[in-house]
This record gives sequence, C-alpha cells and structure tokens, in this order.
Amino acid sequence: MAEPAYTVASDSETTGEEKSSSTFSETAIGIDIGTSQCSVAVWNGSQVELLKNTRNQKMMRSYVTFKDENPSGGVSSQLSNEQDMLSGAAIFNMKRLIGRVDTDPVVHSSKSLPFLVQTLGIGVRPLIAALVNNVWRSTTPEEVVAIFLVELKAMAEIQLKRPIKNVVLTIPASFNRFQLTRIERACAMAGLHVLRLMPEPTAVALLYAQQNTSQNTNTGSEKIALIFNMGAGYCDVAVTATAGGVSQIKALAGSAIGGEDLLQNMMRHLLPDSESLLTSHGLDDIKSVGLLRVATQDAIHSLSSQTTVQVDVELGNGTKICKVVDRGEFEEINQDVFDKCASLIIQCLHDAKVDTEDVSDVIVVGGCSYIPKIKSLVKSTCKKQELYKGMNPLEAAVSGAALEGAVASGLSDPFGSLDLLTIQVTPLAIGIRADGNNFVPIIPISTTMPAQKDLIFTTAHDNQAEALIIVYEGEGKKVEENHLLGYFKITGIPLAPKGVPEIRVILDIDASSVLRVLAGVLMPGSHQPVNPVMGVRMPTVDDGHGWCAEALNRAYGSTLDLVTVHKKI
Amino acid sequence: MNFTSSLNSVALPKPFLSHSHRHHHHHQERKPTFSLITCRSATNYKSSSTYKVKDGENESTNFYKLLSLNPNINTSKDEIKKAYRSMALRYHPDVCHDPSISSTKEFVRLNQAYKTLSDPVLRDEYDYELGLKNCVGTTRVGFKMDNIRNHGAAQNRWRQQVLELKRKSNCRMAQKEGSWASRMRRAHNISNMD
Repeated sequence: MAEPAYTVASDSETTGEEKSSSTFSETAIGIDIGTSQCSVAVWNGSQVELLKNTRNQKMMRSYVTFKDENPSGGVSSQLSNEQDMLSGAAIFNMKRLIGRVDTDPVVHSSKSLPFLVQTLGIGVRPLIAALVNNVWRSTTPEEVVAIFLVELKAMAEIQLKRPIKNVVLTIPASFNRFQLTRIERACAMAGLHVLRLMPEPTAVALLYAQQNTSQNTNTGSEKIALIFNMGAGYCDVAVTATAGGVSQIKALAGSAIGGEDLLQNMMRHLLPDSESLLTSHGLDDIKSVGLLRVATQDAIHSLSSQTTVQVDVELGNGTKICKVVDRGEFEEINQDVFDKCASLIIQCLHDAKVDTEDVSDVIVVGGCSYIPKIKSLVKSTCKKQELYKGMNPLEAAVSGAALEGAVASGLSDPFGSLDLLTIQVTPLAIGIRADGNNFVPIIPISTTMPAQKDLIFTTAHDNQAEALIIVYEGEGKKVEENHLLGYFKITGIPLAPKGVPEIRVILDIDASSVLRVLAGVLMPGSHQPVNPVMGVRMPTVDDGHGWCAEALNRAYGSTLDLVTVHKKI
Repeated sequence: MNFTSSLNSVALPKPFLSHSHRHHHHHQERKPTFSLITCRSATNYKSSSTYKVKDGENESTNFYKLLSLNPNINTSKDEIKKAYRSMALRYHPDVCHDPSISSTKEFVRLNQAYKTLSDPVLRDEYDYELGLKNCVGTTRVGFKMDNIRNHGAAQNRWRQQVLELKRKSNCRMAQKEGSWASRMRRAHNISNMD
C-alpha cells in the first residue's frame, strides 16, 4: 500500500513527515548543535567534510548576541573578547534548556548563567532574556537555536553553492519526545527540514561502522562497541553491534550532565557563594559571574594537560580570587558527576545485555573526552586498557550525521563507503496509564525503530462507556515518574460488564520517528471496531505540562480508567 | 465506510484488522501487511497457536523466507544475523529509496522475523508451529533445552519454558556460561514473560 502524499504540512508545528516518495535531489547535511559548540558536515562525494566559517573555524560557539536590532550568532560574528559573551547580551547553553519547564533541576542549575533565566516553579517554560541597552529582552531556546541554525544554513549554502533544505541533526540520547518537537520547531523556524534526528552516540556508531567496513571488508563477524559521548550539556552512552556496515544499536543511556556541571562545581569551589552573586541580576553582578566563568573554564582546560593550575581573577566588585587548584581537587569536587557517568555506562551495558569482555572497542568522544578523569573512568568501567583511536572527538558526531544525511538522501558510493546503516532503538519506553496509576509500556526501551506494537486493555468499571488514553514516555513504574506526551478519550464503548470490551492500543513509530497512538474498541466475537478508531499524533501537550494529568485526575478521577488484560498462562 | 479505508486515508497501519485479515488477506491486499506481527504480539496475552501454522504456509509471512533463508532448524544464529543485516540494508527506510516499496512496513516485518528467529525459545516454538520439528525442546546446536519436556499443550509448554529459563538464568548468574547473545535473549524473554 503506497503512502499517501501529504499536501499540507501537519498542524502540529513539527516537520517530521514521512519522507516523500520521490528521491532526494540534494544531499542532506549533518548538523551538530552542541551546548557550547556547533558544526556542519557534508558528504562531498568521496568523504565527509566539515564546513568552515569565514574565520576558518570548523567548531563555532553556540551563542546568540542580542546587541542590536538583529541578533547574531557565533557562526557569523566574532566577539571582540570572551567577556563580550558575558555581558548579559549573549544567550548560550540553550540546548540544556530547550523543552524544559521551570520545575526542572537542569533549568534551576542554569540560573547561574550570565543572562536572565527566571523560574516560577509551576511547570511552565522559564523566562529567558538577554540584556539589551539595560532592558531584559525575552527570547526562547527555540529562537536562539533557530538563529544559529539560520547562520549555519547560510554558511553551508555559500560554500556548497546550493540551497539547503534537508538536515540530519544530532540530539542527546536523553531527549524526550517533547524536546524533539522543540528542536524540530527550531529547524522549521530556520527553514530546515529534519530528515533524521540522531542520538549523538548513534551518529558516532555510523562513523564507526564505516571505519570498520573499510578495515575488514564484510567479514561478517560482529564487533561490539561502547560509545561514550560527553559534551558541555549532556552525557550519552550507546552499545552497538557492528558488522558489514550495519550498526545495530543495542541500548542507549543518557543524562543532562556535562562540562557545564563540572564548570559550576568548580565555580562554587573557587567562590563558595558564587550563586548569590546573581540574585539581583545587576549589570555588575553579571560581569562578575562572567569573569569567574571565563577564569574557571580556562582552569579546567589547563587541568586536562597539567596537574595544577593557578587561578587569578579579579571579579570587579572587590572580590579577588587567587587560588591554586590541583587535578585531584577538581576530580573530588566533581565526584558526583563522574559517578553518574560511570552509572550510565553500567546501565547501558545492562540494557544491552552485554558484558564488558564482549566489548571490542570503547570510543570516547565529545568535549569532555579531553579530561583525564573521564578517560580513566570509562576505561576502568569497561575494564579496558586502551580506548579506540581514529576518531576526532569533536568531529565524530557531526561526521556521522553527514554520513546518515548521505545515506538517507539515497546517495551511493562506487567504493561502497555509503553501504551503511544504523538501526536505531527507542531510548525510552512509551506506554499508557492503566491499572490505577501505573505506567504500562507498549513499546519497551531499546525497541528497534521503526516499530509498531500493541496491547489490549479493558474497562475498569461495569458499563463504562468512555476511557482515557494517557500516553507517557519514560522508565518509571508510576505515571508521574514519566513524561506526559498527550491524551485523548475514546467514546462509545458498548455497555458491558467490566473486563469485557477489548480496547486495543497501538503505538506506531515511523522511519522519521513520528509517534502515532491508535486506539479502538472491539467487542468479543467481532473483528470490526465498534467505532472509528482514534489515531493521534503525539506529543500533543505543550511544554511538558505534567499538570494536565493532574487536571484530568481532578476532573474524572478513576471513572475513565483502563486495566490491562491479563495474560492467560 | 469501513475501518480499512478510513485508516488507509491517513496512512496509518491496520493492525485492528488482524483477526479478520486472515480471511480477507488475499483479495484485500496487494501486498501482505504486518497483520501477522500484530497477531504475534497479541499471543503474548492470549493463548493462540493455530494461526501460526496457517501463516507459516504463506510464503510471504514465513519468517525464514522473509530473511531469504530456507526454513531449516540447523540455520545458525550467525547466518540469521547476517541475513537480517543484508535484508536491513535493502529494506530499512534510511536506505530503501524505491517508492514502490513500503520500506517501513517491510522493515517492521523483518524485525519481527529476526526477533523470533534470533531468540532460541521463540524460534523453537516457531519451528514447531511450522512443522519443522516434531516437538519443542529438542536440541539445537548452540542452544540446549534438553530438560524441557513436551507436554503437548502449548500452555504447559510455555509455562515450562519460563520456569526452565528462570532456572537457567539463575545458573548463568553463577556460572556465566554461553554467549552474550544467548544470555541476553534468555534474560530478555524472562523479563517479557514475567
């Protein structure tokens, strides 16, 4: 059955329509929008090439300054000095904030950034603003990301001498579906169509698959690799089984921990009350925090190559920091972050059902891969002496995205360099609320995508005519531990004793990772649904509004509940 | 206005038809759909086994044939993996650019076939249903199920296997025997059946 062509874009803001049936006329580019840096790469016909901006940089800072009428990003504009970025006018770290609400701890930890992040703590999006001529000008993470996407797009168009539409974007493995819609929204604002969203370590896995095919031409023997990717904002782990150019992702794990946390811990170490500096958000305070941030960042970089560092910084408000920090101190104050990294590796190996001795290669990439402690903890957790060599830690993810762009655009290579495939899995389980307040997964974690799964539910009460389908994503046993994706009601259930009507719920994830939830009612003895089936594209909720579920509970209690149909063993 | 057409119009899959499908399959559909998959996933919750034999007779839904393999109980795990990979390189939506092929559906079917055939227990059941073997639990190279007795009734067999797997899993914890793949599949099965 042919897929019908869409004539209008979906109303749901995103642009993730199923790829059109015609072959692509252009090669999709790969974009890595990192928390602190971004980059663009493209398959140039024989290999992956990273594009450079006019200042000959392959890695561009991910920030936008709102100095003048037209905001400008780190791709096109040059800051006169680092402090410029810390004057309140520059917004950065937006990848950490996109799609998060003001009750999220990650948002709270971002309040020490030298611009305005205001939270009300009620589960709505935080107010983010840049200081322009002594006025706080509000913006959104989507807008900031869109601005540098526009700049990256323009840069690529000039160099490739063609319009750019399709992109493969890398994303953190821990992003939930709501956050993905925000990224897609930013792309749509920038006039880009998301061909694929790739969790960062899976992009690295594709690059690894390519490197392995060229090394041993399709021997068919499977190699297990663990990929650890840690940047400024996120830490991701993937376990993949690779053979013959095909990388089968076995499991993914990720968390919003990264260099930013190391930086904040170090800032607190250097100036214990550094957080109180920003309470008034005065211009001088912002400057002080900015100076401290720059000095701390430099110190952390130095500690990657030397064992001690002298921090000497005047914060402009009479505070002067003059301190020697050694690597041991740095590692000690960040013990929690490092422990979390190790636990992600253990979790990912566990989810993949892989033992450390089965792992052939351990790949460490991302900005934090230069930190000696990161390298040593990954090696010790994986029980390996050596890490995989042959990948540029900063370029691996974007290179993988460019490969995926070429593959998904239908390009082939005479030497077989593009006979590649990454088979993705779901990073989180998706399911519905049933059996009281329980989360019942329908598509479990680490399910191969595209996927389609169904489960049968039934009514919780006699003569129950309606039921609520409330869809969540996550790993918690109770719904409130998971992320609400949306909800809808099915009506017209024929009156019957509880447990008799069969309510079939189907979750469908297509190649573009679009999730659809279908629900219909079947009565015993009949093969036709009683009423037209509901088919709802998710997520439908804005801003991760977990409180919608509470409102539903207040309005309906348990009257519209569902229970799972027990397996008959 | 029937259910099929309303769903088709929005390009949605048609698993609701799984039951009726078996009867209308051939004249309704130009190509096989993944009705089979829905049936199989439903078997986790409902006892049913007869349909599989029927489907097994159908060329296009035989899991071995989906992977371009000859139905044979001696096909090794590596051969199945290899077949899956090469089929994935043809039908995965990322790499399949033939507009006449509904690659998403093809790939979902491939996954189902692979998932079943790469899992020793599911494959054993499937081989039995296909009539490739006379009873469940006979020895296959690389996978030992010698202690599982065939009680005839599918339900009993199922329970027996769950118990046996749990026992083996406990043993494994102590001994760490077998390949990672067989261990992970066994472990995976147990968590699914619990």
